[in-house]
Amino acid sequence: MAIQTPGSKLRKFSHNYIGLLYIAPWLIGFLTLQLYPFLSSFYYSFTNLNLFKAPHFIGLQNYIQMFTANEDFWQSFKVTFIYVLAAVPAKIIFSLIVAMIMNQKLRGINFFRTIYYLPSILGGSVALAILWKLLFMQQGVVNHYLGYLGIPAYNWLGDPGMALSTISLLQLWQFGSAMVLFLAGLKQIPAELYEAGKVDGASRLKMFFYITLPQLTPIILFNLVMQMVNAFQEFTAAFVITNGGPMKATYLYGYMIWQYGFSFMKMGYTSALSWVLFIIVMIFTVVIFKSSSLWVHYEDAGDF
Amino acid sequence: MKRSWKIGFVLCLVLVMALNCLVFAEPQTSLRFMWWGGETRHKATMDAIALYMKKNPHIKIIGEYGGFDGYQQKLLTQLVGGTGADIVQIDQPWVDQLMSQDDLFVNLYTLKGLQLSGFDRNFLKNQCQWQNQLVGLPTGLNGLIYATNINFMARHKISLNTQWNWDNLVESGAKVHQQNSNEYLLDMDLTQVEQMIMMYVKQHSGIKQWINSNYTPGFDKKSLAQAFGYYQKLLQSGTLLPLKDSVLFNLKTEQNPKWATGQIGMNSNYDSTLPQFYLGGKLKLDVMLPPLMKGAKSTGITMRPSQILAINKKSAHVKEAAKFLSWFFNNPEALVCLKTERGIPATTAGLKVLEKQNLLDHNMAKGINLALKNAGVPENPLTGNEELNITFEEYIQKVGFNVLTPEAAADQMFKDYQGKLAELKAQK
Amino acid sequence: MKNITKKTIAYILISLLGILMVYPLLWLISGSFKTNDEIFTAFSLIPSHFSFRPYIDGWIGIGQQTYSQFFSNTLQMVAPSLFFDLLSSFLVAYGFSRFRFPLKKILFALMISTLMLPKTVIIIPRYMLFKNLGWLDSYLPFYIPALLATQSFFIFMLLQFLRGLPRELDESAVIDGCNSFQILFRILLPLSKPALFSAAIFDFIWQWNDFFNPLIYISSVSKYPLALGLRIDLDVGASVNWGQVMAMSVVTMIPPILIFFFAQKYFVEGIATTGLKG
Repeated sequence: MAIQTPGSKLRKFSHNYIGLLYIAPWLIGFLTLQLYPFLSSFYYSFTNLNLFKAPHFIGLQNYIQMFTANEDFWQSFKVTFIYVLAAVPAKIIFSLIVAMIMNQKLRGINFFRTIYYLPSILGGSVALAILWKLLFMQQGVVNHYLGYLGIPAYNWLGDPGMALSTISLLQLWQFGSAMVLFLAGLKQIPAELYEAGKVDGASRLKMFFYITLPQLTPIILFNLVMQMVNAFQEFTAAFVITNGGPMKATYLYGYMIWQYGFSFMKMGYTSALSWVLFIIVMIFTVVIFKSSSLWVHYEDAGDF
Repeated sequence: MKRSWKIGFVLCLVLVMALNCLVFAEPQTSLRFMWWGGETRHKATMDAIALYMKKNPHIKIIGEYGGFDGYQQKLLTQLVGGTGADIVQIDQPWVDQLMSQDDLFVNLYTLKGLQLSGFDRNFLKNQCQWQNQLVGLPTGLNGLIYATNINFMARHKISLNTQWNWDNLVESGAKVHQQNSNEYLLDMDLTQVEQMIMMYVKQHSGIKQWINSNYTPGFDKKSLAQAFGYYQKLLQSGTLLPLKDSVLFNLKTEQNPKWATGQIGMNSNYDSTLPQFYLGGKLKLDVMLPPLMKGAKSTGITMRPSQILAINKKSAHVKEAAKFLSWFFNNPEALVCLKTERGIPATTAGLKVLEKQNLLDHNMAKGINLALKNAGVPENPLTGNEELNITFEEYIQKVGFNVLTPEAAADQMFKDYQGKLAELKAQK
Repeated sequence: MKNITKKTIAYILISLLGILMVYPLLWLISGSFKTNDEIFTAFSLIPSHFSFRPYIDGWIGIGQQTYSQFFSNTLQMVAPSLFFDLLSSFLVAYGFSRFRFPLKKILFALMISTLMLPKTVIIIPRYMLFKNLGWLDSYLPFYIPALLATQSFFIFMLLQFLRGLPRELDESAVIDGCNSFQILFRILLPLSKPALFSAAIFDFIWQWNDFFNPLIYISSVSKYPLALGLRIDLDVGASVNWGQVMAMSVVTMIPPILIFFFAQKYFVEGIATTGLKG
């Protein structure tokens, strides 16, 4: 099946510097609004800044302390990695499956799409924290129904061994934006490809793997990168529902950073923590981008 | 024709603007007042502000209010930016952390216009002072009590006049749990377990301060281990709601369905939080005192202000702010407006006014009297340090979830405290 | 026949899964009619009695700022930023997707990297910056960054979609004498509808629900958006009227739900109406 549509190599990128004009808004915004906070936080990471006192340069002390003498850091590291490795792939696969279903021509599908997007709208609602507790506590609704299936009652959020899984599930529940992107991506796939596939007598499964999936790879890449970037910085779930507990079982990195910054008022240290996270996320992103030339299909044939 | 109409219109406009200027020519001072709270506190405070502005037309007070979520972050950001409100509501435990970094609030002792006579000098000194400076004024008195469910106690035939000590508490608790395995005599969140452990150590070892003013732990390892052991006993005997059931409702114990359904007898908390435990009048409550050991040198019962109102050092209108605060804390009309929205008033005049008008919740009043009578020696402000508290709570959880033995937890916590305190001292 | 059973199975499946999606909303709605005590103890979704008091009382609040004000504030805050975000991000995405210029890869990496530093450490420097610019307590901290394409998420997202559009389209337009600006607005804009509408939906909902940014930048209650209004009464250690809070949560959620419902046709029935057929 010929799905490669190599662009003409001759005419691409004809007007060189006009591109700079188009990205000018971002360039200006970056230089005026983003660069300074960035650089200052980088500088602060080498200082003992708290909040109010003038910072003193202390070299790598913050970094050394966190790697050698901070148990919280390692605990948070562990929790966050498990969270990212569990939540990100699960969310992408789940949202892709749902998007495939939601892309069917069924009566009332608009209604269902909205229903499936609801969690993403409700996500940050203030009252929901109460709901999660009522649902997942020992004598909560979830255990009540699982009881009918003969599953023993767990304390889904109060048990240190369970809390992280439960929080991850709650994140999975908010898969709406990934789903929407897949839906939009599905609509961008040229119909001719499927028609050609039909002519060739390809099965639907085959068409999914040879047409849909390759055509969706730019969106998969986007979802993968963004979900990962966000998961590494996840803060709300730990903040609103569990406060990082019990026993630091949900002590996500984003929560630790907030706690060191605004509860403990150690801004220099917090900056160092943040830059370590920055570098980790950067490494992951670079690896994903580097690998993308192997599996992402662009209409511009990777010409970037 | 059309043109003259236009000119007339412009003239009118200019005239109106000029008049505006004349009418409002009186110099107006704007004061910003920031606080957190719930609906009734907002309403009461805005009513009081309206009243004050009516009497002082040259003052405009802008209420900047909201919930507690994010309040500290907002406050800190504004203080760092030098854009804080003139009058800010702060939580007492923040005082040390803030003042040790920068001289952020006006020393109220230096303000002549501020009426302090109604306050108990000792309370101000112990609770609102930071190194001889009066950082703010207490909005209310607050003491540690047990909010007690009357029906629960009647059902289990426990007299409301019982004076708890460390032994009869566990005995009764075990009995309750044996009678009904779903019921627990006591519920505490982590902050309250901290308080209990401090009380236990103070009553048993006779120390006065949890943390010494020279930045060393006031407690010793052995007593701490005993206190952790007692906590374990509370859990094992079924006196205390299991940690995994209570940990989710940290700081929100009233939301725990077990409390609402009357399966919990007592909730340890500060007196001013009592209203939330009624659950809209569903539960009948009384107040009891936490355990006391006979002959203890210090009961360890913590008294504290409900909140503190401070004047921002960067304020351009310190005098006007002080004048407003004097009125806010002492004027009978203001007091009637504010009722107990920020706890039981810390001024004698305030108490009298509310008593006279019958605006005091009798349980709240009873609780504060009980706590006051048995109050422990005031704590060093360092005890409120957030990092120390989080460390403390961490070890409580490790004991509660049986990850560490009481001895190991006490050992490690003592070491951690020494380290963190040394760090704090070095920062000073 | 086979088709019908297949469809029935599909409906049953998505309905069952749908219950998990819609349950919290139902709980919120039912909670809005309940007393605190009922919220914390009763599992039933049917409240013991119906009264619209929480909705009326919640809307009025303490009588200073009603929800009409919060709604209008939110619109004033969100609508311009939304427009600016889309416009600027689309331009920048176009620049990255179709042109070659010096340092392009480095600039792209910088653009992406702005997403990776936790916001917590940027809050205070940004606050100082906006303070020095005199933007505090106004909606400028939302408008201007939007105008200057600081939302890398949308740039990256639109870029991915633009790169999925065949280059031949641009090339034939060039042959027809279009300049790059015309290509963008005449050829690529209509084709990017699905992507732009999904970006618009995300941006709208995220800004609608955003709590931390307004919390930091807006101090006057009269300028509070809904997200701040919803949390205005949430104290610790004091009784919160949860029925009222839930009632207002429900009301607040209606616009995003409606917007999603009506805007979805643009991203699911956008360019390729002859797309996947069942």
